[in-house]
Amino acid sequence: MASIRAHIWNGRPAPCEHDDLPIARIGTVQPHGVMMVVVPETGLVEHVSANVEEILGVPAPAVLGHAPTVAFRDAESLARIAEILRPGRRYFDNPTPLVANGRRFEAICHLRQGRLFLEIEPYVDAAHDYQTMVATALDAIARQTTVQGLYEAAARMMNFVTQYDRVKLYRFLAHGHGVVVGEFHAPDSKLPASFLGYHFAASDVPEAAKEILRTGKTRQKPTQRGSVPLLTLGAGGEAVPSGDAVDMTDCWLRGIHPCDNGYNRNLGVGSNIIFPVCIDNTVWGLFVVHNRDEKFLNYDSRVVIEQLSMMFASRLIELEAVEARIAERQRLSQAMVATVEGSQTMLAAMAAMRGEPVGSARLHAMHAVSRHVAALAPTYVSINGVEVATAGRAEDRFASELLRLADADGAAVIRSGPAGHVHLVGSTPDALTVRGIAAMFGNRLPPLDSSEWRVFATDALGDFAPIGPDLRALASGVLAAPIGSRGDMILWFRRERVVDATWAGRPPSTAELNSEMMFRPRADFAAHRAPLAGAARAWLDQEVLLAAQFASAIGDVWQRAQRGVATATPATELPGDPVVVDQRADADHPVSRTAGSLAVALPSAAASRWNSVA
Amino acid sequence: MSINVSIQAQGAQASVTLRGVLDSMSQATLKQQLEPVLANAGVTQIRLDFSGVQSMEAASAGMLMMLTHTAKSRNKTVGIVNANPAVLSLMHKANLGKVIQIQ
Repeated sequence: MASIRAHIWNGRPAPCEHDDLPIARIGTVQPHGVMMVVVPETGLVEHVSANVEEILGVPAPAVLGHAPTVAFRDAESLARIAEILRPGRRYFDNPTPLVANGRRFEAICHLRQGRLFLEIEPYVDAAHDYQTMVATALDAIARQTTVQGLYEAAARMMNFVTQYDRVKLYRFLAHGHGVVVGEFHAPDSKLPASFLGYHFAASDVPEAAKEILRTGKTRQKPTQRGSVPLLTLGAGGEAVPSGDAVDMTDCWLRGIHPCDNGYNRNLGVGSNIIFPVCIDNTVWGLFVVHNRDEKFLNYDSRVVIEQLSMMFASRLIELEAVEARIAERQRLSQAMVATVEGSQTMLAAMAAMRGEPVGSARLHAMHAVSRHVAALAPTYVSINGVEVATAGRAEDRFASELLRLADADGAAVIRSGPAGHVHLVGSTPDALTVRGIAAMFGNRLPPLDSSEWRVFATDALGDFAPIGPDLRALASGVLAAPIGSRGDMILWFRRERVVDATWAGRPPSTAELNSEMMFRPRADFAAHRAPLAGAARAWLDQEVLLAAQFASAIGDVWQRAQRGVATATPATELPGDPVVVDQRADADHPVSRTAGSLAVALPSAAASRWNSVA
Repeated sequence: MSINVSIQAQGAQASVTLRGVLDSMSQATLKQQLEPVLANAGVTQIRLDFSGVQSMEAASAGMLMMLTHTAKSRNKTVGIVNANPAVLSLMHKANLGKVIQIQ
């Protein structure tokens, strides 16, 4: 079952020279711990980091091709390693305490691609025990009632657990850029500079790194002392570099790219941890925790911050829904569907009462309901050039509610059929352009009828279609859902949002993104003002779901109506086949001007118009 | 919604059977359905049967941790049974076992 996220195609980062860095298969290991890669079937070490002698006192050639126990003498440690190596084990109660040469270590184990990874790190004490840390964090997260409060509480809790100098909560925006939305400084912080509100360019996080972050894996870089090679046995039995043979996606000790080390040095950071906030396999943002000096965290502390980021994500979903009034909009959606269904009931009753031909009865019935309701009714007529019953405020309320449903600037209802129409509400592209956008589904945009959720959303239409500045300004954000299966559709639009952004350093130009410069560490983090454009405010997952449900419910109303009139109506007048009385553009029509003047009198009411595109 | 929840309470134990996908969209449904169980003073053990859960997202793991926290504050324990290997793997990766009993 696909997540609703799969239907959200937001603005993509511009291609960058370092996108394909082999980060997961970097072939190196951070210097503070030992990595052993074991073949589970044999229990023998296939790869080991070159620092094994420095840390455990056994040279690499003496470990390769032997059991991991070769590096330990302590009886309890040997028994624990034997338990780790027990055939058939799939999960591990991390960490496993070990002792070597009188020094305490903790082993963190996992399986990946048929190999057992043992990461052996020196043990360090934490400021608090696991239970205290997790209970305090849980309590702080659960108590928050606003999104901003949650940002601040989470950053504060990250400091409580890590005791690092500075915590930044970084939220991804369209096109892979990001902004610091929360920050916390330790009282005695040695990194006093604040980045709150600063934007960071997408190129700061290479796509390959983002791919690993998407798995939820925390990135810990407690020291900037470079990396050591991972070794394996060569053809002659000697230890040789493993190169890119090992996928270290899930490893804590995965080596650091020199460019990354340089970036942190230039920021004045000696130790950092980056842990992603993932929502439905998408990286929403990152907690970036900095310390000026080298600093290590034990495994339990890292577990708490990972769990804290999961709790944060869960609470964020709840609070975003509260602040966006999703529950209220769900009720609104139900009421609107009922209104549309009611209009059909009225239509049927009038047809029966007047004893008129069905087409004429529809016309009269539609005079009595809002044009906006009519646009979504199972059967509808164009009212251009025809006297209209005064719908007044109720009519405009439906239009503004249609926008409020998706918190949109504009909306369009496309009715298919031989005399198809586009009904526009609020700030939208013209009808022909709306038709053009709809025609892109199944072409530049994904088809709308091939999955569980029949919906599509983007915050940057321009990333998927060649659109001019005018259209980008009006409709960078598009949320679309088909009604039924005959080509009818409802679309909502959001205007492009241009932000006067302050960047941490000048963002690279397109030419720079495609140059060798991307392999050199960034050194400029000074405030730089430049607009951030090309995207609308992103649609929330809940809004996308609501749109899909609304369109589906309207489709159900149509289906019910179709069943009700199929026997009494000529085949050419089935619900969904529009009866067009007058296809003149609305610009010449007094009704539209009336609607326009109402919009002026009622600020919340959106302007609305019929458009013929026949 | 992408999750179906059915609850059977017997004495002190409430057995909650889940079917579907635990993701950002379904977590609200699950929380809502569990509210009466959490409010029931007679229930001291909540057993979440995951046999029908096809997949689970990280944020849902966070939700389960918070749920356990709430349950604990009301003198209840929470346990998860019958999770499929993919879901079990995610739970272990998230170290959920440190907070919730997983069988």
